[in-house]
Amino acid sequence: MAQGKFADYAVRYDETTAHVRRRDIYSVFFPRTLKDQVLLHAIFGHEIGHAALEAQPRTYDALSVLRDNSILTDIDSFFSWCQVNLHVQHRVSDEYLKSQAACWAKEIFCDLFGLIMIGPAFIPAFTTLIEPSYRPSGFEYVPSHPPYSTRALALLQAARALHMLPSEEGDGKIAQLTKELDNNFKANATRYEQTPYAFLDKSNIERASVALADFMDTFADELSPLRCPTTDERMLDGLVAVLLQRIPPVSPLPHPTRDGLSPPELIDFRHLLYAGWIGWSKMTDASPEEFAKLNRYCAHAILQQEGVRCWNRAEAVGAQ
Amino acid sequence: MLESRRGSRSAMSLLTRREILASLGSGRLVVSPLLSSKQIGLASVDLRIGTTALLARASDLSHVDPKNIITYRKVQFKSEQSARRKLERLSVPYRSQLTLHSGGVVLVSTYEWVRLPADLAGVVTARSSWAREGLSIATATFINPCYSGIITLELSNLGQVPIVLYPGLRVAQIALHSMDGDSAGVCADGGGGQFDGAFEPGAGKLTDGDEAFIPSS
Repeated sequence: MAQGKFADYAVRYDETTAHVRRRDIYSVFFPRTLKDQVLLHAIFGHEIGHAALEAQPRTYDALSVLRDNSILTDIDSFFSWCQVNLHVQHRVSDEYLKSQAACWAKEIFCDLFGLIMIGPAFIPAFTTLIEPSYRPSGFEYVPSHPPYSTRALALLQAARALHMLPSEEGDGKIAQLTKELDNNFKANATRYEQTPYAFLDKSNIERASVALADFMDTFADELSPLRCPTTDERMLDGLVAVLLQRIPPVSPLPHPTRDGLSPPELIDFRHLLYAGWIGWSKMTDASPEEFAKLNRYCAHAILQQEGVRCWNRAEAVGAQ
Repeated sequence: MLESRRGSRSAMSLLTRREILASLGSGRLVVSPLLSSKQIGLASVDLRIGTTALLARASDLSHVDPKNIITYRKVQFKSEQSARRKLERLSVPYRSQLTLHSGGVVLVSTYEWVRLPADLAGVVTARSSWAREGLSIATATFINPCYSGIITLELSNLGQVPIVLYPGLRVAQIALHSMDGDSAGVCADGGGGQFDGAFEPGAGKLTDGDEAFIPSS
């Protein structure tokens, strides 16, 4: 719902009708200023992660895997990490430190949730929205959230563990999207190397990602799976080609068939967002106006896909 | 195929189904998405109703006066306010209905995004089945070469019985005419017209270029 505050997100549980409903309803609000920026809506996955933590106790399994043996479970190590790496000088109460460490773990968890739910489109939305608030080093201290670099690295490690990025170097498409992230890490390499390994333990992140992906697979719905479906490279290329012609990328352009033309494909909105970000990385004019136009093309394509879905559903019923 | 036709004829010619299929297949002409090849007729392509509509409200204004539009244009807020008073924007989800009352006018977007090349122009008309029910696609039916965007259908109900419309219905068709003469540079010269690049229906620019004929007070 685009009714959040000017710059805040919010998750609320609807208690008023809870006693008459069979399902719990959580409303996730996002800032109204983002209403028309559909490519940035990918970050919404993070907020849905917060709602999932409230609603689904099973998500805590993945959260505990993430925190397992890390400094987030030991407040002395946690404070010392903040002292060394973020130059925090005054130690606050243990209770406060404990809740701060819990917050940081949840934030990284929700980043992973967003990535697995939305797919690769989550990464550029994350860098576009979050990175500017941590400039210049990406390592500033914000009590409620872990440093940007830590979060971004966790995202990259999770994306690689789940084979969202075909190779360490990237496949040429994602490489451009993650270039900014990689640059950021290189710039902070010295400081990053000093960080205690446990906080950014690669295996923790990988195991938590796999646990989360498995959790999401239990909500398998053929039409709208919770976990982002695997990207089809051919389809993605077709969508980007359409977008670069300044046409809403609802489907790759049709090709001739014996009966006429190939029908439009039913495409998950998350792939349309991914195609939008790839298209953006290929555009020569990177002005805010162009970004706004690109968002409109993608938003229009998502609405058109609803028509394709409606048509396919009716076709399927007719075929039975 | 189009080249050879152009060489042998001197007037504009209507594209046949085979030529339309060839143009769509090569990506020269875009009507996206085409849910079914059955939308392509002998010499036209059927167009569906989209999910955005602008409904004219008669209750709020006594008349439309181009003079007011010129006055309001100087103050953006007033101009927008004037447009809002006359036209109400509706978002109509699939499987929801939009009722067009007798004598009413509604601007709806097509579901399809259309892009014409420099040597094709389009003419949009109502499909005859709907025309027999009194549904008319008003008079502004010509689509310029190089146009890219949704097409606004100016639907009016000329019958005495209200008509219920649903997004996705094929109510219109576009016939495509190949143009003779040199079409090079047409798109670069601002082809496409004033509504080029439209995502949804919008109010027209009634007075652009005609200000000399409208009294200032």
